[in-house]
Amino acid sequence: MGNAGVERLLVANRGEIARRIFRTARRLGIECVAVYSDADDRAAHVSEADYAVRIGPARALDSYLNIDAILKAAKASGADAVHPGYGFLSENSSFARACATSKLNFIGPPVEAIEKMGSKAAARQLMSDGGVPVIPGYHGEDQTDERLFAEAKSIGFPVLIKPVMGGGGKGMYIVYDENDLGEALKASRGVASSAFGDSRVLLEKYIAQSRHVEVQIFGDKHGNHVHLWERDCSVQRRHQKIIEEAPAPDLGDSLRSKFGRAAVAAAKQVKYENAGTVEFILDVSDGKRDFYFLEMNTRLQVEHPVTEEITGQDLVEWQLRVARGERLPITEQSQIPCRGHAIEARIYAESPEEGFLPQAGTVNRFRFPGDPAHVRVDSGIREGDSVGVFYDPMVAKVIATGDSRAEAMTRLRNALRGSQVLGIKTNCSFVSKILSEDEFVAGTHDTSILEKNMEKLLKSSDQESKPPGALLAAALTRRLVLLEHYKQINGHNAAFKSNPGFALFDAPRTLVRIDGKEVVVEETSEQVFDVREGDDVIGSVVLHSCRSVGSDEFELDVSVKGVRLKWHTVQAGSEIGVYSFEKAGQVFTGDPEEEEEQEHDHEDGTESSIKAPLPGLIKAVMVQVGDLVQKDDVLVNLEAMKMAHSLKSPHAGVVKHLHTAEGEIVTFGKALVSVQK
Amino acid sequence: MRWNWSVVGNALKLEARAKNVEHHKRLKEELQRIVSVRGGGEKNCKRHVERKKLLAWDRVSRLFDPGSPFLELSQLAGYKLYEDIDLPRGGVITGVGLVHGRPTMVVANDATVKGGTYFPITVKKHLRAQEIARQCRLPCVYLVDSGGAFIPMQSDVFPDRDHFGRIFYNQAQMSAEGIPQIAIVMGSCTAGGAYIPAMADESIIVKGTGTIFLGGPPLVKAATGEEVTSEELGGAEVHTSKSGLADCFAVSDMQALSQARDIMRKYKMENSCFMSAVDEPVHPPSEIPAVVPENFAEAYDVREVVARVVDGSRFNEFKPKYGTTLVTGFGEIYGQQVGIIGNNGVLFGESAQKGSHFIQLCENQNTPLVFLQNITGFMIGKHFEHSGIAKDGAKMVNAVSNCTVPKVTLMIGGSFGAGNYGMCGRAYSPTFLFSWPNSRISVMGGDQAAEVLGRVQGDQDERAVERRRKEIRETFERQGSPLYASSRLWDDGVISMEDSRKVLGLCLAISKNGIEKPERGRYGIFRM
Repeated sequence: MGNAGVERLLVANRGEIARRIFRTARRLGIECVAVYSDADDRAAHVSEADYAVRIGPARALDSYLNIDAILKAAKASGADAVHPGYGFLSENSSFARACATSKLNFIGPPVEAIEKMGSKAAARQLMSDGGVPVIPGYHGEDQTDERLFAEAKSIGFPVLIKPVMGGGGKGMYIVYDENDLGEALKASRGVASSAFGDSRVLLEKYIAQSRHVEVQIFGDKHGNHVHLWERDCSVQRRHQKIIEEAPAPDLGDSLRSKFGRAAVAAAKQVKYENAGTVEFILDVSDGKRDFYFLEMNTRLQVEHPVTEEITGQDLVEWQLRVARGERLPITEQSQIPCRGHAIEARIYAESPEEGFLPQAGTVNRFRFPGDPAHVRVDSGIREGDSVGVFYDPMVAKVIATGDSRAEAMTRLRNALRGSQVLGIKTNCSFVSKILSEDEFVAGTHDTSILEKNMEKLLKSSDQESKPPGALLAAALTRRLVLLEHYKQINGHNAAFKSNPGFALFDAPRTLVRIDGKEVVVEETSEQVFDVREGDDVIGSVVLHSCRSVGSDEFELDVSVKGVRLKWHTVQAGSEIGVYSFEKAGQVFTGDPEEEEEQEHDHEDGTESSIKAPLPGLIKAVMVQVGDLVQKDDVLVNLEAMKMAHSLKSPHAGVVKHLHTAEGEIVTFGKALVSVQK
Repeated sequence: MRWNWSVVGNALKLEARAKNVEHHKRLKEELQRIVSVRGGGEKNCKRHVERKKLLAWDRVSRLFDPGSPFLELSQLAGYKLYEDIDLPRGGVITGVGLVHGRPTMVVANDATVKGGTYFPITVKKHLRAQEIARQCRLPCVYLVDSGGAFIPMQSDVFPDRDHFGRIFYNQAQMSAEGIPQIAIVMGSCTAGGAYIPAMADESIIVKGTGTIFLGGPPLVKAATGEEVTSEELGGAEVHTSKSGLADCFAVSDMQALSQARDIMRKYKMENSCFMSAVDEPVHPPSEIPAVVPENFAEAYDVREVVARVVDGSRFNEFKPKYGTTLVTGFGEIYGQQVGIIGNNGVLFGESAQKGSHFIQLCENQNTPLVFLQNITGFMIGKHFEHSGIAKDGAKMVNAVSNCTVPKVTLMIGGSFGAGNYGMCGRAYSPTFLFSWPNSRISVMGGDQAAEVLGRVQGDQDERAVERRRKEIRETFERQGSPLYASSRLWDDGVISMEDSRKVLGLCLAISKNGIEKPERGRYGIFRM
């Protein structure tokens, strides 16, 4: 590698991080090369690169994890450097080595550092040797009861027993008292040998209440090492981070500097180069403040923006400069700034109310309010892009900054509440509710915060913060959109165009569908609208002004029950979003436009249409047009959410239409096959 | 250039005219009340809906484009027409709306009104809708849900030229002329009614509710002893798979209407020209009730009405100083160039000549005509008879009769005597004819009739004469009212004054594709 240049950078990644890296690369005058799988053919990162190379089918194993394909892509595009991003191959030492062999400048630590840190036990030993505190425990080969009892005692109760090969909490026991140890050992070994085929166990100090604190470190090829302060990532769901912030709240200066020193020590220990993160677990049980080394991540982290925001540094720029052989932009630890506070929320395409089920679909709208100086959005998608089911459901990160933690928190909460996302469900409202949790607000939360409050957080009781009269707004918007479209169809004659809904001796009314219900919007007098369902008047709205601020997007100035309100409404696809400042938006389903309806109109009782129950990939089509099928014959195999679904014929008949083919990625509700009786 | 046309009309002191406004408001409210009655009563409507059928007006609104205006015709048809029988809208809804942007005539039977059977006025209303459709080349969609002819009145429904059979004759003729004829069978369609879908270019039938047969199950049983259900005899399955009488099978009214829209898609009209924004009148149409005096015998300047109808209140008057009791000139209504003829008093020879000249001018330039009719008649008296007022009147009648451009007549006051002819009354086949609630129509005024008829020869009993005169006046008053007139389809409906601009605009837009110039010997314009 040596002092290799970085002139044309291939990013072996996708989505948000690929775009993030391109942004800095462009600023530094470096050309960008994207790689993409078939699923990302039209993804944002592909269109933002100077060059893009296809690396394989949708499945990550065949594309983003396919080392050969990526190296070929680098060669084809003439790239001289590779940035692995996070996830995928970012901590894969074989990839780093392969890059070196191919004379590609790998933007990351040396292969040896990746390897050393890749082995948890080795890393632990290394850190321990270097004087970095590690969780007291026993990882030895001597599995005799005597040894384990002795180790347990020296660790101090409570201790945790885990099968060495285990995972998912299986065979894991917490032992509070020496007298129970024997029993627990027996049980754990039993599970370990039956479930993992290996009866070995390890012991670790059990930490009842902990926080996740990590330190951003950087090293260069000249032996300089600094840390860029710490981040707190204690808000996690099933080890998946959701909210990260810097600096860590409620830490105290002496503890902070201890963290920093320990992290730099760890970096020096492995002669670390480039960006890395040293993760610690902070034991806060019973008022304790002990921290232990957890692991070291040899890559840029998802949550790096919060560090960037408080230090004012561009970490990707640091990475590229280090890779070019330059010294760290700041080598003096005391010169590393730390200003204000930053909090990041990870936005996932998932439905918290439905067990956090990942969502797929076309994102028709994706906006977060807030001054860009204080609210940064690192997004993997643009409006109009589709989110698939193949990769991580994280679609964006929203980072808010402020002089104080409280200020950053309020800005982030406003941005999430006022978010305008149509087409997919997200965790925006869920995260905004976490931001209002007392513990979080006080900064005293630990990693159990979500588990403890889950039930409360999932209740969508954010009613009072919803835009008032949202249903009325949705109905009015639907009417506006219909009339807008009507005027376009009938642009030829002003008499028609100027008199929408006109009828003799009757109020102009428009029939709209909102959430499956037929609603009538009636203009009872000029700019006064009654919204009715059947004979029930849902409400009455006086429209003072209506500004069209985009296609099918309106700013409505209205009065409802004598109170003047502002509504910002959008129709995108079949959804109508109603927003009002930083109140949580409300999304309604309108009618699909007539054109889109056609597909579903074939059903007449003699024919059934088999539709995709979930968005997913068509793995196999078992029939052809004209085939005779029996009831329950499998027509199509659909892979969705990593599960295979067999779609069967509801009755005997003939396959009349086939609307799909193998390999197609289909959206929810798409008609796939029709069978005629 | 045309923006140099002068703005007509005067600003009004509305307070000074509160009496007019009050009076016209009362008339309007009465009409509103009558028109708001839909269908044949709550019980019938409930039963109709329970059969999973949409009500006639809901069917109509779902046929048209969202946002489409609906120019309903003859809302008052059948109003107080037959003794003891309420027949709201004559049992059928007709009117024009847009389907994929193309003006389309709908004829929808209301089965909640006497089972949707055809009374004489029902037939008349159906035929009038077809007449308009033919003149304007509007595709026709028939939403059929009818028990056929109303048997007790069969002699006024069945035998004559303009009776039931004419419906199918019209369908055949229009089909031949390339005017699409679409039928949806959404209920019974019995005997003669069976020919509506049968004569249609394309037809749809709704499963479970739609049936077509010449003789229903009871008749079949009586005639042949065969027992059969109506679905077996002529349901959707039968006609789409066996008889071929219907083309599309629908499971619901909603689906049938959506299928009809699909069918209509191929008749979509391409409209390439773009219409820029339209100026609303400087003087708002809402002021018309203030303009028009409570008593129509009181004179007012018809230009004040014109000013509240045309774009930007701009009016380019033709021959303003000649024959001043007839106001003629050009304006635009929603950007559509139009020739307007309005009355400012009794017609003199000069006025009639000017009118004839103007009509020829419009005919020559293919400019549609709007008649604002408020006429007590032609001037009478020795001087006028001697100078040939009847001859001058005949010129105007001749011009009106033979001009082929769309003609829209609005009855805005009195319509008496031969003035009705010259001003394009019903007999002169205006494309559309609407009335204001204050209008009056009769061969002569009630007072004049009472004068002429009240005194039988040699009658000396003044009280009897007075009584007879009162009766005559009352009869004329009743029969001359727009409620009476519209109930009998002497017009295409009564509209509120404020809607005049909208209705005229829609009429012109609807009729603009109907102009077909006969190729025959023509003359240049005669200066009269």
